[in-house]
Amino acid sequence: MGRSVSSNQVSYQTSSSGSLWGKIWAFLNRDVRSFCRQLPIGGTLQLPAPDKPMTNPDVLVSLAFQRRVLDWRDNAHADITRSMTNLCQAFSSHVDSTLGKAGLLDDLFSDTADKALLHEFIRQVEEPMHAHLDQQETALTSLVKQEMPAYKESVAFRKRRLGAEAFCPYFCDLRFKTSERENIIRRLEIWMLGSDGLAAEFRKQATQMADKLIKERQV
Amino acid sequence: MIPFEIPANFATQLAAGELVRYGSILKSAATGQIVGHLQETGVVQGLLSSLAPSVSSPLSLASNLVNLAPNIYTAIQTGRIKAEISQIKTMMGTLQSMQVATLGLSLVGLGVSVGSFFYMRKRFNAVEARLDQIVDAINEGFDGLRKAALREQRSRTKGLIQRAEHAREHSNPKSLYEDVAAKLAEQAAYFEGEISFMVTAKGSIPADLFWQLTQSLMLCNNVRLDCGIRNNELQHTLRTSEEVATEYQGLFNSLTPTDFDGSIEDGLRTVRVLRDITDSAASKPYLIDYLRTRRIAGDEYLSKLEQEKENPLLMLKAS
Repeated sequence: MGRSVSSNQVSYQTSSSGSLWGKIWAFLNRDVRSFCRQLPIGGTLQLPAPDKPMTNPDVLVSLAFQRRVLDWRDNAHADITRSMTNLCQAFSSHVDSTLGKAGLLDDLFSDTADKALLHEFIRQVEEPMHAHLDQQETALTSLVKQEMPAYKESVAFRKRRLGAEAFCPYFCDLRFKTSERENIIRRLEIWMLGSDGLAAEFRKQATQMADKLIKERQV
Repeated sequence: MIPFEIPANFATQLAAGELVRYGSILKSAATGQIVGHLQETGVVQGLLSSLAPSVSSPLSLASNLVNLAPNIYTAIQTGRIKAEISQIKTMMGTLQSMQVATLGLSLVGLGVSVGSFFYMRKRFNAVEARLDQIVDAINEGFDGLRKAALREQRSRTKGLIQRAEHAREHSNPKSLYEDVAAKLAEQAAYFEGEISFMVTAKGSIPADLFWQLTQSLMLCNNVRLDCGIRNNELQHTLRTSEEVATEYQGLFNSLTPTDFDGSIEDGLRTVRVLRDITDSAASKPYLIDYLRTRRIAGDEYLSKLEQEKENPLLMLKAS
């Protein structure tokens, strides 16, 4: 009972007698792989010819595209986090300095934080962040145009959470006065950098956009 | 005759956009045809292990080499050191001309890893020493049992690399290589499990620990593939290399710069190296397939690369 295995060919020799014992013996000695691959007992399984490639070059095109999209996603994540962190610091400083200048009367007749901060929030956070996200969209659009000219779906961030309609309800229960300074700043940090904050939201969207594109191009 | 060429010969075409690089593969931009496979030689690991034994992560490699080379040059101007510095310069220049973004890639292998088992063991020892320091410093999330298991797995891995190192003197090296490769697959699975656990756990990923485990995983896989190529089991090794590539994609593709502790810039550098590692792993099956279809014996291929004394990188011309 011998079995010789070479890298290109697997051949099985059995005691190919037609007797019942011979068949049982052959069955017991069958390579388990043959049950799945219909390897003929006593026959030969032809593995791919040595000269025939076993790799598909088309996969490389899709992998190279995947790399470009992942690079975009990684840069977008870094840019979003970096920008939002800087904007949050700058805006917190604004809150700090404004409340630092507030007098007793300002504290007594204070507005809600959303009303007091909305204008500056739009100027200092919403608009610059829009610009950052626009830049990321432009980079991705150019990549898609180059690599997937037939792709018609939009590659844009949903930016509604950056707007006033999302900002106001989040801050309307806080008065804009000196005693609330720490609460306002903490709330701002959560709003912008927290695990469900603006940065996390846009990072999540960037990941979703990247995943969708990669899936579209998979071979 | 193995059709090796000097990679610098292709730099102009690459810069002009006539060629594009993916991982260690150079392709024609016009036809998409593979033009060649970039391949590190034994010089690379020799340089890394003699000049930068303390390099703990691919991120620090570039700065370590840049800082280390002039110091050594000033201190001891022996012929050997001069030659090594010149080789480092060549290597860095070639990597740049080949548009390899992260020099750290040379720690993980361009083409198949040709460090020889001796250098791989040396590298593993360095990783192990660093792991000891890190794990001892970590108390949270790394209990005594896990520490003991990690220690045991590292010892086993080191022993297996040592066995591979001495396989040539064995009466039946082929079966020894097979055995080592099979056992290293289990070791790789252990390290993969640890990395996967770390990646899916809550909170930031500790970058340093992550790197040491990632390097352990890569060393296991590199030695596995090396054993297969040495045994001329190219078809099987090709499939193994495909599995490894898929595994790296699954582990690393979802990681982003903000997942790691430390600064965003470090996180960005970390994921760039991870992408290069993944690309390099994904291009390995193509190189092995080329060897197979051209009937280039695996052991001969590795032996030629190990014997190379001048060029840290070569190009295996594909057409």
